[in-house]
Amino acid sequence: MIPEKRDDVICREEEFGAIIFDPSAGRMHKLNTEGHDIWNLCDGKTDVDTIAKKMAEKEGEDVEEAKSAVEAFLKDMEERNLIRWH
Amino acid sequence: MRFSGPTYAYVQVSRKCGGCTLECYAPPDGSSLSLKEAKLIADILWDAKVFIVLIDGGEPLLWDGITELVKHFRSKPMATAMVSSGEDISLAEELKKADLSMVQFPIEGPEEYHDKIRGEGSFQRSIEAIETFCDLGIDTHVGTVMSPSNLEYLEEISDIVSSYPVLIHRVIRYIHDTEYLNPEQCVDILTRITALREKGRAIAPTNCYTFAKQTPYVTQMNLDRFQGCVGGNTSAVITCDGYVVPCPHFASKKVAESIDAPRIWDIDLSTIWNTWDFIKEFRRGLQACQNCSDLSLCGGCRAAAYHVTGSFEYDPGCPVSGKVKE
Repeated sequence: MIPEKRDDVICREEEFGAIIFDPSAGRMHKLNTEGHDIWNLCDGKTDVDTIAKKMAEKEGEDVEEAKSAVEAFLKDMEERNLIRWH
Repeated sequence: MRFSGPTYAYVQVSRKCGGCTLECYAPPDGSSLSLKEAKLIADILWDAKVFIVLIDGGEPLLWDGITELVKHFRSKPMATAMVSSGEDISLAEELKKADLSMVQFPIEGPEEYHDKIRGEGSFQRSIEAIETFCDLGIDTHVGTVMSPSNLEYLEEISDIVSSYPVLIHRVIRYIHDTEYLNPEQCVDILTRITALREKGRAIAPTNCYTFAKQTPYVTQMNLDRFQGCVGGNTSAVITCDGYVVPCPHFASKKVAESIDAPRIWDIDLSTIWNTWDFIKEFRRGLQACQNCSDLSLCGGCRAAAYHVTGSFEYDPGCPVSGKVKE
């Protein structure tokens, strides 16, 4: 499964992570730095396992632990209609 | 959590309106933006990644170019809302076509009280505006400016509002140098809003009741999302003179000039946001709140303090700041 962020969603980087704005819903969402990193990896080419591995390396944590955090984040983004799956 | 710039902004297109007897935060003085200036402000805000704009006045529906400006904002594409008193709704369908995201109209009390405040026939005009914009499928809100003189009408106003498909009824705090809600009245109003919500009413106080967590309304709050005073933290106001101020209650020319507010076309917005001493002091919270455990969540209503004390001393409506001050 490969997640891809919607290309019309706009991201503004912040010290705490980022704010993403969904123009069709007129809504903003705050991301922490970890969420922002996962968001940036949702490029339509990188699958969930690879995202989890990259996050585990970056955060210095176990891959399974990272995968569970990545899946929870992507589920939230999917529910907000901010990503698509390939 | 510190934001690098505002995420939403009020744009005051004019200080022209039909007038009302409430002492407004933007007293009518005939000033107005040109459409060209308003579009320039839109461009500056979008370049700064400000995502949401709220068109304010004066009365935006009486401002020449309102439809064109809404289209311009939406083309960015910023979410675009408008606060109006519904004085002239002849442009409603054009605003729908321009893709206006949201609109708010006032109900200050039952008809007699509302007309006494906003002028003869204004209640019916507001109702007609609410009906028209709801029918057009534009997200419609109702705002009530709660002062000591209409406190008794809250439930009656809620009954009126709930008979229309409005998304939310917002209870705004009247900011004034003498006729403000005192702490007991603030707690009372928040308690009654809580009771109305428990009955299923879509009603909420605005963030100007920064201390809501310290009242029975806490049961209705999502504390993970509550931001307290958003002025200078996530929101900014651009007046029709181009001044950048942290909150709509600083949007008269007189107040903006008294705080040496910079103008959006003179200084980069990010520089204003990050270096203007007044906005930095605004963010810190009130002097009486500095030892309060809710400082980071609340900090008091800076506008209420400023209008009563002429400084950021204390919030005259806060039920706890007196204790903290002691």
